[in-house]
Amino acid sequence: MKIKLAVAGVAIMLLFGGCDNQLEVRDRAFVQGAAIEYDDGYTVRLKLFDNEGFYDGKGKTFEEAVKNAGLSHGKDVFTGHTEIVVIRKNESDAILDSLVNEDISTGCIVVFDEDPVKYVEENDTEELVDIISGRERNGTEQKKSIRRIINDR
Amino acid sequence: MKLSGGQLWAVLFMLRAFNFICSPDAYSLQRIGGTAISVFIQFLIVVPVIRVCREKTAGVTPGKAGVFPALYFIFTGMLAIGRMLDITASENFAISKNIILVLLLVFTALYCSKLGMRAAGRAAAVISGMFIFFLAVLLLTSVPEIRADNLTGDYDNTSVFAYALKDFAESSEIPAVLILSLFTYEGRAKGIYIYFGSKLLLVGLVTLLGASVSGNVSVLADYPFFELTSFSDLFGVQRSDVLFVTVCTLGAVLTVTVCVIAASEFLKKYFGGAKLLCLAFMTAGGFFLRGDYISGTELFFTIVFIIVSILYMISASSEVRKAESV
Amino acid sequence: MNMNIKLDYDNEKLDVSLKKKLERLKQITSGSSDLLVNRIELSGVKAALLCCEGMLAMSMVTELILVPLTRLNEAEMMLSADELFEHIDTKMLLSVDRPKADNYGDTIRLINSGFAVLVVDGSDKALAFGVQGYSIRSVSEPTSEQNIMGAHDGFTETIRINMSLIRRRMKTPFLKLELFVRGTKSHTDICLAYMTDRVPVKLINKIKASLKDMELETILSSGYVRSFLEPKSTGIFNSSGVTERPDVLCSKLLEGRVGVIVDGTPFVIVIPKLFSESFQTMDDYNCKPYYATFIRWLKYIAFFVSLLLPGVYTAIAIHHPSSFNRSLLLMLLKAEETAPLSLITESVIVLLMYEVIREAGIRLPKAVGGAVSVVSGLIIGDSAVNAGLISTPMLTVIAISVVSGFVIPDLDHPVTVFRFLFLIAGGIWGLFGISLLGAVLVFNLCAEENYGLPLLAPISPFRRACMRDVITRTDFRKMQNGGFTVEKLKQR
Repeated sequence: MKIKLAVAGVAIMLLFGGCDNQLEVRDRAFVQGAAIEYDDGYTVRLKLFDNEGFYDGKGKTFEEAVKNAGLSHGKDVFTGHTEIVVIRKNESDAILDSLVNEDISTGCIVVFDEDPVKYVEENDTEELVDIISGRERNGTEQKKSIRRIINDR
Repeated sequence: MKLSGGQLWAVLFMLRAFNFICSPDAYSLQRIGGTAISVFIQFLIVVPVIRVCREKTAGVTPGKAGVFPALYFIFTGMLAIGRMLDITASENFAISKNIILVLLLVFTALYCSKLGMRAAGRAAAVISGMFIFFLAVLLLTSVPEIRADNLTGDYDNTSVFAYALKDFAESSEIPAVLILSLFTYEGRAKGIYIYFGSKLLLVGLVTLLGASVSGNVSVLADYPFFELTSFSDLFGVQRSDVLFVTVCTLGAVLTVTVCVIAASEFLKKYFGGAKLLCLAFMTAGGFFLRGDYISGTELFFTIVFIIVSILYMISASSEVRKAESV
Repeated sequence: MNMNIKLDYDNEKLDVSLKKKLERLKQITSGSSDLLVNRIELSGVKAALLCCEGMLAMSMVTELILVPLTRLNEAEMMLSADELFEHIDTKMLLSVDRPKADNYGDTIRLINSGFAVLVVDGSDKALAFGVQGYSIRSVSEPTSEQNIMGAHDGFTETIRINMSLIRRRMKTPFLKLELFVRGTKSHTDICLAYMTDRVPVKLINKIKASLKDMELETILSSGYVRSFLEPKSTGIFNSSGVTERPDVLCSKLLEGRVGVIVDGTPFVIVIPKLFSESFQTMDDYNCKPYYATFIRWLKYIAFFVSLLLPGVYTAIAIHHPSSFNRSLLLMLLKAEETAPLSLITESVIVLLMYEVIREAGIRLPKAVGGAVSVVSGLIIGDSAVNAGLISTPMLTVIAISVVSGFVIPDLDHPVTVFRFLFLIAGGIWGLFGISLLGAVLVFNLCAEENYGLPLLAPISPFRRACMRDVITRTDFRKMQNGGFTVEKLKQR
């Protein structure tokens, strides 16, 4: 009897709890680089891996802006693999503090530019990441990551 | 309900480790200082009681006063469930509905509690071994990220004394040290001494690592432990915070299981199938005790339950002493 | 059917009259064609030699029994039936094994066990001669436990041969082999093998009590007996071991365990068992400690890979993709882009297909077995990937997982089932689900005890001195002084 109850319980949980947030790999858009602007709200231009295109979005929070970016393309945007973030220097405090609790790793490279959106459009961010990582391995230059910038304040 | 000294250590260590993983407090040198003070005070409270009550009480059936320890374990179980609910809201645990998460945890704890305290003690030893292994690899792989100048930064405004209080509040397993030691048939004192030492080492080492790696980021992060583990390149994975999801979950299961077993053992006299009842209380309380409620309530009840446990321990020992003299 | 009914002839005393004895035996055996009745006359007394066709060495019967009996001399012809029995038993010594019977139950059992049974008119006793000659499989290499440097002989289906294989290796008088008969219809011989100086009497008595509780009609393999020797059938892992190797059994007997040999099967049950033994083989003790340690750790890793890899891969791919590094992620994206099925469905199908192919490979006749490999490997596997039905990373992960499982055949059954469960738990609930299922498994392992010995000893409860054969394979010079028995691992 107890085993039957246990099986019934698990079956109910499977039915109601497990399947609604199932996102296949192909249903996600993986962000490689992000341009973030903050002006009483977030504007993002997200570059995907393998030059699969750009997603644009706006929102009150970074999370909302990212979600909106994915809505128009029908995909769930995943920022956990973001390798490079481009922001304006004068907005860095506000933006970087909010990124700490997002999916983006705090080891992500930060580049300062006055026009982040244009920067991400015009530059090959994947190549940029490789160059910066290579320089750090050689000891030529230390990469500016989110956590390094926050700690250096 | 019987434990060996080693199993007692493992259970207490994992109870503390789970609370530590779920702690929202920043990593800084002040925290290390506060923890050291708090552990020293706890040591001064617990050890004399253990030394005085040396009688072999393992195997003694809890009497009427067992209701108070039962309340303590139910409260600790509530805290554990509350912590899991908080952490899953912030970290990626892959389940969107809280109720499902809690039900799964409760079902698992119910099954595990049927296997007895001995199984829980042995499982605690295995889980703590796993945790120490993961921690060791985390320490090794985080070494390249260490920056000594992070330690000198004054990013944390919380005082040493405030951290001492926070650590005391977080150490809600202290009453368990006293109560579970009554059910330990050998190596009780050794297990407790090692527990205090390992607790200090765990908090001290991880805090030091966290402070030198994360620094100011740990003040901003919701859960600094997961923030620290996201740096680590463990086993070649990009981020290892999700691997510590495993340890956190195991810690939660163990905490709730131990609490259910212990609480139902004390309530056996009054309720036959007390396990389900205890779990029901813990679940309901867990939904209530979330977020700010935890830190505020915990310190008060920790102090209350420490006093209760000391009194219970003294009374149990004197009962055994009376029985032996007769 | 009530298995407690005692057979009505079991304790029925033999008739004195030969005619009545033979009629009753024919009645009990329902006139079975393999019951051979040789009527003879011994010193004027009517007698019969009863045997079961095919169970005896007929040449031995003729030479050792029939010829000497028919040459009884004049003086012996004056004896009564009971005196005749006494004379044949003590003076003629027609065979080494000469059990007696005084009831129909024992007589039938002796006949069906390959004895030649002599019954005489005027006596209510029967005298049996051990001249078994039924077909037996010769001692050969065990199929399930292969070794390179260990012995190549294994147990057979014949209990007496198995007993001799043990005795040959352990010539100490402390080795005791106790025979029982169980099974109300099959009357199967069961032998308890143990070292009297290593095993506590309490454990032997408990095992005997468990065997006594067995009210089975037939015992056709050790699996029948095993369930009675384990605490509960709902445990995930076996708390008793089986072995086909005499050298392995002898090493276990030295550690204070008990072997249960069942006639009709080459698999000997060893109780109690430790979980860590599933990772040990005889070859470990035939090579250098460093290599044995390396192989031991390879097996530990293989166990976790086999059990967890598909589940963890699915969990991370669906719920925690941030754990993959860039190259893995891009490879996964490319592979899954055009896959028609979800990741969980794909992985469950591949795993199920593998289990079907494996089962088919075991059950098919050897002649056809080769075709299974071709069909499964080339046609199904390759074509499915080329058609895009299954992604290559998923197939690779499953393949690594199942191959890792081959390294520890002893844990094959629980690993097979739990691999599926971890896969489903990981796919639906991510690493949280895997952790919960892992907790269930760990708790179950920790709770499992057999005759007071925890299954997970010496890991938990931890015994440092006993870890020398778990973490590493210590040198024999250090191990020889241990005097290790499993009693040391018990928790108070």
